[in-house]
Amino acid sequence: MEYPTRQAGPFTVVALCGDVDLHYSPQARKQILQHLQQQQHVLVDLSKVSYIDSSGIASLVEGFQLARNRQLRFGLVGVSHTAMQVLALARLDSVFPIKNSVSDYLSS
Amino acid sequence: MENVLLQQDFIAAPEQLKLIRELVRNTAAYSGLRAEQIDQVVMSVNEACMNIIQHAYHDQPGRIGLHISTQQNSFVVQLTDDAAPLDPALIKPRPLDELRPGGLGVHFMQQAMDVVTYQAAPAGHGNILIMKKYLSNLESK
Repeated sequence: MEYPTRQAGPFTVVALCGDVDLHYSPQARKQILQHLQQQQHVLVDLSKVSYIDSSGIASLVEGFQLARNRQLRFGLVGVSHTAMQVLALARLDSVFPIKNSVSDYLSS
Repeated sequence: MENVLLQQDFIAAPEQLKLIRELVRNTAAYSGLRAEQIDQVVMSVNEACMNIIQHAYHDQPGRIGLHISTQQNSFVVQLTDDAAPLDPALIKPRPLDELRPGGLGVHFMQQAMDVVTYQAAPAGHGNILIMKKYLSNLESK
């Protein structure tokens, strides 16, 4: 399964969807890291994520760290209620840049 | 008195997790847990199964036993595996101020459940994890 990606200004937007669990998070991780390794700024769209577990969160943490090391921009967009609950439990809701929409990043 | 609601074995594999979550969700709803409590139980079982797959079986084939019951005022989930016994003292959450991937599962379980207990299986191989959620709104997280 390949998650859809699109270009929005300087950002590559990776749109995760469905259940991002141990079965699917390796694919999410692969795509997020791949774009960052190609020196692209990355936004991860979580608006269609119905479930995310600690392996999915770990993929986001890896992306965030790689972006920081490469001086690239990385952020989350459209974080679903479910995903926000898990981010808050991991106390990552105040660590990741989080905005409602891609356009919010484009205008900031 | 124990009222057994579900007892089933699963293959310890990531593709089984969705099925396990659905069964746990339905069983918890049947028991009358609130929506928030159901989400907490589902998340905890998912994280526990992930730990069994990754850390007990090291991604090798194995069995996960799932046993769900109500006992007195608790919704009780027991997960068993046949892997080499783990030292319960070594199963602890990582400090959350360390920003690194992984290590969150135990923290999630401890935050979401009222009781989390690890036991070595009596036969000398395998592990038993018991997690409880109190059915009373006053006592439960």
